[in-house]
Amino acid sequence: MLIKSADIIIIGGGLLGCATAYQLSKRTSCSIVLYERNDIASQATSRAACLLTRARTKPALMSLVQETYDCIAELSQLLNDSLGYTESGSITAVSELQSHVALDDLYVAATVFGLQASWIDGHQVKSKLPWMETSSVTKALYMPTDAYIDSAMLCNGYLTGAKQNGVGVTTRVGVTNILSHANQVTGVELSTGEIVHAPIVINATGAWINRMIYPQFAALATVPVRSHFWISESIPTIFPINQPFAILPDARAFTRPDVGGLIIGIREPECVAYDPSQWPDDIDDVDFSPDNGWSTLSQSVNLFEKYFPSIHDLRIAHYVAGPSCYTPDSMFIVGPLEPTAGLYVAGGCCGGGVAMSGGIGRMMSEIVLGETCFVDQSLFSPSRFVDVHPYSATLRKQCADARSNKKGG
Amino acid sequence: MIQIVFVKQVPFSTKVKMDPVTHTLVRSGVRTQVNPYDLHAVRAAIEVKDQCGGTVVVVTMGPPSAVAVLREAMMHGADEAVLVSDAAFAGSDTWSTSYILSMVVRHLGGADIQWFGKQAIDGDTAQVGPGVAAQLNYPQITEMNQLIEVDEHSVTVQKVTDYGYRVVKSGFPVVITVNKEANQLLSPSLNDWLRAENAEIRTINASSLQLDMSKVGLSGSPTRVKRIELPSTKQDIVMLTSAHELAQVIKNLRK
Amino acid sequence: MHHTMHIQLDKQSCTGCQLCFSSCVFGAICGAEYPDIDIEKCTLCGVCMDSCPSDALSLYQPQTIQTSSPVVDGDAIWVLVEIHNQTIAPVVLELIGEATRLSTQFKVSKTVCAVVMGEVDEPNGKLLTAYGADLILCIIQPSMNQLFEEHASAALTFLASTFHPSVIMVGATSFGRAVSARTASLLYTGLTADCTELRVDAVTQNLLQIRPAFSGNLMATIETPHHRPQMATIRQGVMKLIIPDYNRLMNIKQVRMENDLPMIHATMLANIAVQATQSITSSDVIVAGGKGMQQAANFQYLHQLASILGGQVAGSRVAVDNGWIGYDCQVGQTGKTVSPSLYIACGISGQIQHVAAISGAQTIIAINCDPDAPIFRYAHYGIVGKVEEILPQLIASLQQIV
Ligand SMILES: Cc1cc2nc3c(=O)[nH]c(=O)nc-3n(C[C@H](O)[C@H](O)[C@H](O)COP(=O)(O)OP(=O)(O)OC[C@H]3O[C@@H](n4cnc5c(N)ncnc54)[C@H](O)[C@@H]3O)c2cc1C
Ligand SMILES: Cc1cc2nc3c(=O)[nH]c(=O)nc-3n(C[C@H](O)[C@H](O)[C@H](O)COP(=O)(O)OP(=O)(O)OC[C@H]3O[C@@H](n4cnc5c(N)ncnc54)[C@H](O)[C@@H]3O)c2cc1C
Repeated sequence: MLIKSADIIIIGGGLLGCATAYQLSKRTSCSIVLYERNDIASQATSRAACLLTRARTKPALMSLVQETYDCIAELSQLLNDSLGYTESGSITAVSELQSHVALDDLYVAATVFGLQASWIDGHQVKSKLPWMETSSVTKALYMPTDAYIDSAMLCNGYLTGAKQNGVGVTTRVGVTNILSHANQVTGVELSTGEIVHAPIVINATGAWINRMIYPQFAALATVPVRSHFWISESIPTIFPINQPFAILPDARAFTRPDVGGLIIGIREPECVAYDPSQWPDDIDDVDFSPDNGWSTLSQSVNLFEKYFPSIHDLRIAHYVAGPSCYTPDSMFIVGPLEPTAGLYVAGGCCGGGVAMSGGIGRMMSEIVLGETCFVDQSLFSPSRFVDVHPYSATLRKQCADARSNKKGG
Repeated sequence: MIQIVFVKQVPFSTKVKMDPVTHTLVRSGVRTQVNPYDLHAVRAAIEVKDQCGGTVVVVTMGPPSAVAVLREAMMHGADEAVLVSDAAFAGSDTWSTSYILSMVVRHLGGADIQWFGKQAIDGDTAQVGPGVAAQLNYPQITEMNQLIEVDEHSVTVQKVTDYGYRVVKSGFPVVITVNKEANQLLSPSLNDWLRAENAEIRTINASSLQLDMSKVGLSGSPTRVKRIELPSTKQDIVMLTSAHELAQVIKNLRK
Repeated sequence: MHHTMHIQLDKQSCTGCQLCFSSCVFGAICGAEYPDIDIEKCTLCGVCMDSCPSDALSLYQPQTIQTSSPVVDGDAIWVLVEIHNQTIAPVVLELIGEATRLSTQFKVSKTVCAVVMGEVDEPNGKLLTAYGADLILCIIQPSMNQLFEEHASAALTFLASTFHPSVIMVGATSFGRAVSARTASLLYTGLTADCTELRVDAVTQNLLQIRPAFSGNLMATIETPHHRPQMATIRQGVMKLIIPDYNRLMNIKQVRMENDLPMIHATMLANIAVQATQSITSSDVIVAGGKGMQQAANFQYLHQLASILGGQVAGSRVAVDNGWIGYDCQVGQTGKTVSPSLYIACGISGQIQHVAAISGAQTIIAINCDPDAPIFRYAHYGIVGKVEEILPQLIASLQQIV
């Protein structure tokens, strides 16, 4: 079937594009089509650590995450599939005094929002995370309802839900151009040469988001920044598979169980940002680390040692790296792209695109359909940055720093 | 005991795409890795060393950037590393490579066991191990899938044959090529990386090997690559409708 | 500049079309306009020279290195015969068939000769003849143990340097690969492994040996221009048998090998005929199950199928997470990378983390109830349906026909 026109076109079959498709399809009977030039969930989405961290200091972010949890519950029922959802609980443990304040703030924000959270002591931490050296832990927050999920399954889950509601999906076909006339979007041109007309186009192309719109339409203050984690060899006796995931702000790290091994994510002191104008179309062709993450691990491990002194002897089986798109203020970019009517963007995931996907999808849908947004959309407005040079070294530095300075997971 | 393990730098991904616009070949990335079979050869050498002591030397022939694979091999336990590199070696086929590596063995004073991976994943030829054995007139044991016993004088291994397996005992020196079944690899740790990173790597070039230069590099290689192209039969998927039909397809594939 | 051999550019002829950039599978050519060849990455394979429409690329060879002079090209195509328990390996007859086809492609047709280590018995001699051998050469050396690769190579080397065949074809069995590699090394000649097609160049009369490279993602044509014999190994099932003619005259020639065989200080302690168990990373057949298998009990189908096909069972991450199969057998980005000749994916959707690790598989078969499952984009054969229905039927059918 050749679709020559639609009401809404979504570009990108990652988490943000698929969640948007699902949320839109629940709210409107408009005809919606989605184009993905590789395979669904094959890019940033395929490399995620998949933590669904609920507690955030900003209530709007907690609402976005809550929406994702609601979507997961809804989809699991609809599709009769767990989507790899694991309610492991989480522990945020800190050692330094300055971090106490931040953790107190997080506790207050979370409980005010209505999340379950309780303080636990070092022994309790040790009993849940037997591998951890807890002597330096001075404060720890346990959140029993935190979970992680399989990002690819969640992404496909959104899309299956969307398809059931009539969304048309085409993979291995990319959008080469967004078309417009007199400041109004008119459609897109596909890699097959076809033209599809639509008054609304949503750009959810992740790391390639600027490539779609710059310089014709506008520039967004976001670039891909390397995000990564290591997976240890499988030692189920030390790394129980049902342990909570852990966030260690003082080590700039998180951990999560993975088939008997431990996923360890550690942010390097200086993160690496990329120039997306130079990127191939598939991250499989990007070499994120010539030495498979070893030098990076050695440079960033020192803070993690106090929680896991034998890290130097731990056998590392895998290194997984991918692009997380950061913005200078670590907030997403969701909304209309002025001045072109009908053009919208959802991106700048800042390492939280899995957790926020349902929320971002909902926000995007409400904005597109002109409904009142369930969160304050101005926080995420694309126009909050001015004078943006998307391929400049300055922006890369700002975005890399945003990740370097991030607190929490 | 002295053991030499030969390792090769191979592309990380053997995927090749066709550029839809220019219809030319696009290799997926330029990342490289140690040929996976060779890591099993390194592991075998380490297991021998654990019993008999001595030194494990890893050797690779390649461009200067191939030191990366030497370090990777050292992360898996090798003690010393030698890079054999010379612009004159470029274009060497399996014959020339075997010749050069056999001269490297001579240059290093020989070893009790010279280990190779069964084959390299970029070429799948399985020729260099036996080729080196031939040049040195050493016995060869191909496709070892289990190390049974080793002492200062001999090694006993199980090797795969076309009909099952065979247990062979050999004195030294010997050339052994290794299958992936031979052992379980151990993932390296940060300490292993650090040790490898700081290790000194010796470089040998053509002038130190007393080579007959007419036998190395492209001009010394008996074979020539005439053409490289994408397989013409890149067919679309064939959808079948019954299990019986599928059985026929499988039967034809396996005949 | 460089004084060693390298690819050189004639800037006058170069049109800047950049076709050579992408012709290089080693990624050695880049540049703003003109090609800039990275000598570190360049393997001198010469493919870029062929790709250049204006012949601007050529090979620079320093004067000091002379290419070796051509050697005698004989008038025979040899096929090495492997016999186990009085039975000729099936690949041998296929190769003899191919040799008869090739022989007519030469301007002066060649004799097809089957080379046997030791004596040949009457029935086997007849079989080799019927399937196309013009001559059977038996090499006799009383102390030879033909199971030893070293002995077989020494004998073949002796024969070849006595009779100068133009071509030697060997089955790509474990034994054949090892013997041919050692022999080619001793003869100082080229050997092309795992050829899938052989042709004769009409002009040069060289054997064109076509073989897969990069796990079958590329096809390379290789020749041995200045050395003889031209040696090739070929896998079983690639070449076709000819219709046997049992009326052909059997022609056997025995050759005594005067030279001593190499001293082998290896002893054989056991020689056992069983299929050794393999891990999934080197198994030739993998039957993999995913979440669509629904429960541990259904994995019995996969085990049955694997045992019929002599393969191993593997799983997706979900199958491992559910405890249906061990972590050792997880295929994927965070599991094992595999390259079997046959991969059967049952109830696996084909997420990138899984399929990234099977791109080296020669043939992929997918069984999935969802016609839109991405795995069908990677598979060569597919069937839409429920695994719990298809697998038992498939097993029953295979049990009947295999
Ligand atoms: C190592 C790592 C760990 C992470 N851990 C977490 C975590 O624990 N928790 C969390 O919440 N988040 C995490 N993230 C972030 C999360 O993965 C991302 O936020 C999320 O996947 C982004 O989804 P996306 O749809 O924006 O991008 P993508 O998944 O990259 O999707 C964009 C899609 O658009 C397609 N596309 C691009 N251009 C075109 C075009 N022209 N035409 C058609 N299609 C096009 C691409 O092919 C791609 O599929 C992590 C990220 C990484 C890299
Ligand atoms: C960082 C990271 C690393 C990962 N590493 C790996 C890895 O190494 N390997 C890996 O495999 N995965 C890995 N994954 C998981 C990956 O994202 C997918 O979730 C997983 O591959 C899906 O497994 P599956 O195909 O078995 O399940 P699903 O995706 O759920 O697919 C099940 C399939 O079975 C089909 N089906 C259902 N019922 C039937 C039936 N009765 N008959 C026939 N078909 C049926 C369905 O149509 C569906 O296509 C990783 C994920 C992440 C985030």
